[in-house]
Amino acid sequence: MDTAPAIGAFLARRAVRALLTAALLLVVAGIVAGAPVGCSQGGCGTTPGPVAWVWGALRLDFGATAGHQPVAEAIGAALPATLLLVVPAALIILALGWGAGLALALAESNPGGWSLPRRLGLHIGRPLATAAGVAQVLPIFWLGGLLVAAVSVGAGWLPPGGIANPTGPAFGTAAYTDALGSQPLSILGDLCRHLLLPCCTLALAGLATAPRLLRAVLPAQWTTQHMRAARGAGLSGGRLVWRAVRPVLAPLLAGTAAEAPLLASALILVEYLYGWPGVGLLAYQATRAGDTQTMGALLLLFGLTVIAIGLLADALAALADPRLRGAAG
Amino acid sequence: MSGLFRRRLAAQRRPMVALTVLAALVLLSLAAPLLAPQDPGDPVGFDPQDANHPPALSWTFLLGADDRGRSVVALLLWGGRASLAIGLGAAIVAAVVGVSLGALAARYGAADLVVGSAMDLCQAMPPLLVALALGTHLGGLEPALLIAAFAASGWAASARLTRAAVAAGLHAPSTEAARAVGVSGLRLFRVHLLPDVLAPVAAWSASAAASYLALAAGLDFLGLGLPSGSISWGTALAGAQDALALGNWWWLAAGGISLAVEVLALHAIAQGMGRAGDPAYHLTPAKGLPAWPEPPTAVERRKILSRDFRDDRKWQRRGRLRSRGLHGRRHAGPRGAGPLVAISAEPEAQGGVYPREWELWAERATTGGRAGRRLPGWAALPVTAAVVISGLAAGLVLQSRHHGSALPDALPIAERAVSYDQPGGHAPSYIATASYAATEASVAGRPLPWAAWGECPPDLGRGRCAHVEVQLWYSGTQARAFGEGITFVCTAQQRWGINPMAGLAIADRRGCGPLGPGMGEIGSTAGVVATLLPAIVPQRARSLGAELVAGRRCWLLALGGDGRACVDAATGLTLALERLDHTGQPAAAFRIDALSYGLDLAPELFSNPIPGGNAGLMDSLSQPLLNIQAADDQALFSALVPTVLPAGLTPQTPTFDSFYDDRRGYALTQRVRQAYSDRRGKVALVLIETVPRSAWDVTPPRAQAQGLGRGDRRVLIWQGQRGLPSLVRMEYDGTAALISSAVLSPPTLARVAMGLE
Repeated sequence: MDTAPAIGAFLARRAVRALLTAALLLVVAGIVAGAPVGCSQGGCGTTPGPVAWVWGALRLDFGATAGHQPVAEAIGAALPATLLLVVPAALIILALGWGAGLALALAESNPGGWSLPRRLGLHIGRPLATAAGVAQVLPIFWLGGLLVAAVSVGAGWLPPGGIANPTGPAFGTAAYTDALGSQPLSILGDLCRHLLLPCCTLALAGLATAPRLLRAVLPAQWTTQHMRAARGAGLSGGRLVWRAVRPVLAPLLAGTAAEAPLLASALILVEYLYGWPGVGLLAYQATRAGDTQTMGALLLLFGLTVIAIGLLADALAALADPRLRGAAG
Repeated sequence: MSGLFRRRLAAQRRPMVALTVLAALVLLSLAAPLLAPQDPGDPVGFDPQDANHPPALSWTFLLGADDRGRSVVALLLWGGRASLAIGLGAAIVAAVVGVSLGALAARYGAADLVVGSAMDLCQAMPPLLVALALGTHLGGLEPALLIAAFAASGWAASARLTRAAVAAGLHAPSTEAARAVGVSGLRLFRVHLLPDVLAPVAAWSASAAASYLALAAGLDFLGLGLPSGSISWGTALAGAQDALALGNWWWLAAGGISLAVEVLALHAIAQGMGRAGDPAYHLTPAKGLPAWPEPPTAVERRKILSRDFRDDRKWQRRGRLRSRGLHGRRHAGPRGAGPLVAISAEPEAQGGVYPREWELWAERATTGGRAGRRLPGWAALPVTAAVVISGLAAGLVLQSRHHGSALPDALPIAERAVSYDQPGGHAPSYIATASYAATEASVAGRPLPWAAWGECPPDLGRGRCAHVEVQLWYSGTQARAFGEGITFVCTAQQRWGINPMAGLAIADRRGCGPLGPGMGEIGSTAGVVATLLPAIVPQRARSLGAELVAGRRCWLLALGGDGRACVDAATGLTLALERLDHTGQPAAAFRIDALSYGLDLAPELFSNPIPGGNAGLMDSLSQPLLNIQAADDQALFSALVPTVLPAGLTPQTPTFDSFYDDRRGYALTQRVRQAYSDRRGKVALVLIETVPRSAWDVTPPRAQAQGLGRGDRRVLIWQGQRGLPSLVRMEYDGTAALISSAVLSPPTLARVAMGLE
């Protein structure tokens, strides 16, 4: 009996590929950040030149913004807000999208089995997947605008934008940290109220992918020989589902990871729409100010994140499916 | 994109509606200068007094006005120009670049490295950020720049699709067969690979266009897209959210809805294209349409008979045409409610005239049941005349041009048939499960002692019918057939193939060595066909289009006036064949139900009969076989295992699925197809499918025998050319069992044998 190929070699090859991509990305970011810029907008910026910028970036010095603030500092100030927005949205997308998608795909492809999950999948998953599918193709700024108009401006339930109450301490300042220490409940509650709308808008942009992929892939999987064999051998429940999902995990994960650049695009729109002081808003402001060094650093940041997500997806797929480990990475 | 793809797309309602909507929006936008009530880009073209004008029953304010007094109708009409151009343009540019580079990457290793790195890089950059970075540098964006920015990050996705499709297509049996007969270069790409690429890329392009449209609108909405003076759906909406506070809901609603309609239409088109290009997706399987036409009812038969009579007289009057080779029976051409135009416009069609019910059937079968478009009554006469005349003219021209032995290039099959005659040409092998049924009258006078007699299947009408289930093995010019219960074997030295003008190429039948009772003279497909359906006149076959039989694309041919056949486009095998009686009623039908290809059967198999004959083995058959769904190996299994499976073996679904790797330096994908266990529940016989990632890289010895001594078991391997096909012979308790699989490598097989314990 042969043993499966070790995953280490695959990961090493894949990491080398990711590093190569990152290096290319650094060059592109350097060109964006360092190339001379026209004087048409935001005054004549002085740029250090691509080579100098890349050399600086390797030492984590990304130059200065148009406001003469170090870029690393500006991004560092904006990053916590973005993480506050992205992490819950990603969790919603993964949990709700994969949960509903899996339940729905199983319920649709396996008529007969498992009455309770099947009913849940059909009656909750299908409307959810349909709604998510419609929401995903709608322009996000329009959808967000509608949400703001309905929930914030119309009903007045939630604040229409920003990250903190304007009368309280500003987000990210020392006063905010102090207030968080002294009265954590009110500050956190305020944060959650501000977070709810942008987070939901961002999640809507990516929610439909997992159900779509799962519904496309799983039904065919269900009739394969190895699934017949597994059922014939008496497997059921989670072990059976895992046998169906495991061989197609690679396209599922790849499809999910491929959504990352589009979600990053949506993030910029959402942050602008809600005045959320994260890196997306920073990108908007940098473009307004003709601030090329910030743009270069942001391109690097977004690109590296996407590369890391792709690497993670491939690693997970290879962990589950040994056949992929022999692939060229 | 083939005609089949177009028809499958056209047979779906939702994408066609979406396509109509899209076309209407494009036309409306193009006609904006004529239609729009005002020019929003003209600073004096509107009146600020009309700011936030509510919707009214006038063309200008049908959808109200924005906060500057501009008509929303005008904004949408004018804005569609830039938005549609950007969305569609970026998708088209990305698709063209992606297909070109992806194909290069799939074909050439060096290009793969460069293109692969570029793909990784471009996929890592969010399209909106790329556009923003470009805007930062250039101080603003033109539509062309936006197209470039989106295409720069989008081409990678289409290139990835193309690379995967081409890489898979390079190793598809049909492509390998084409390469084996010398097709290469651009022709290989264009004819054999590109059709597989276009459908997924087209589907991707439509959904990408939707994304880009929304992204461009978002960019304009940010105020960072097109210059402030220009009008797009994004800039048109820029202040709409704030205007909500003033009660101006119509602006945001109208703009958003039109954008959403556009995006949803593109997604619907993408979905429809994806389904049209997916052969596994069944279009409107309902409506009770069989894959083969229903026999005509009694009333229809009377009509056909009377029409035949009329046509005979008509064609007798046109004796000159008849003497030039167009036959004079039952090919009246379009008549009745009006001609159908869809099929005759197909490039596959040879321009001839053919019975209308076949035309109808081909149309219905390929479009999932929707009848063809009918022309209005006033146009019927001239169009009928034009179609008939042009069809006749084309038939005459073709007939004169291809007189003699010259083969037209209209069907790939012709090329194949010629190529096999070339020295060194490699003929791929196939195994097929086929069924044959014929009414009692049609086999009168011909003994079919091996056939089972019973009720006729519904498509053959009433009465008693002879049934034969056949397993056919083809290897190049040789073939072997196994009948149900009886094994009859024959090899014939002859060429098979289809010449669209000359009909089935049936050579002389000879060299049959009977092994059992009820021998037929079975040779290649053509030989089988000629034996089972002797009355068919295979001269002057005419192509009616393409069809799917047994999951394979085949050319639908009319054979003389007596029969119709479907011939596999890639292999030349006759997948289905019917003989009709004079009224169009099928009297005998031959049909391949499943085809397994890429199997290079060992020459020994054809020169030697089954060891020991099959009579004794039949007695030892104790267990019914599982009816395996997988078509590929079923033929072989049902052909072989029932005759050789020793007593005491129980069919068993495999209880494991496994991933193996091969130590020989190339990766393998393996799947256990079927397993048999003995009385103690141990796995005794395993059928494994193994697919090497790169079959062309492996060149093991051509013929290799390997014995694995494990007491009463022995495994023999015949290795075919290029390591592709192999045949495994497994001896068990002194009884021969022949097991085959698509591809096996010797070390893999050794482990399979070891794994039996």
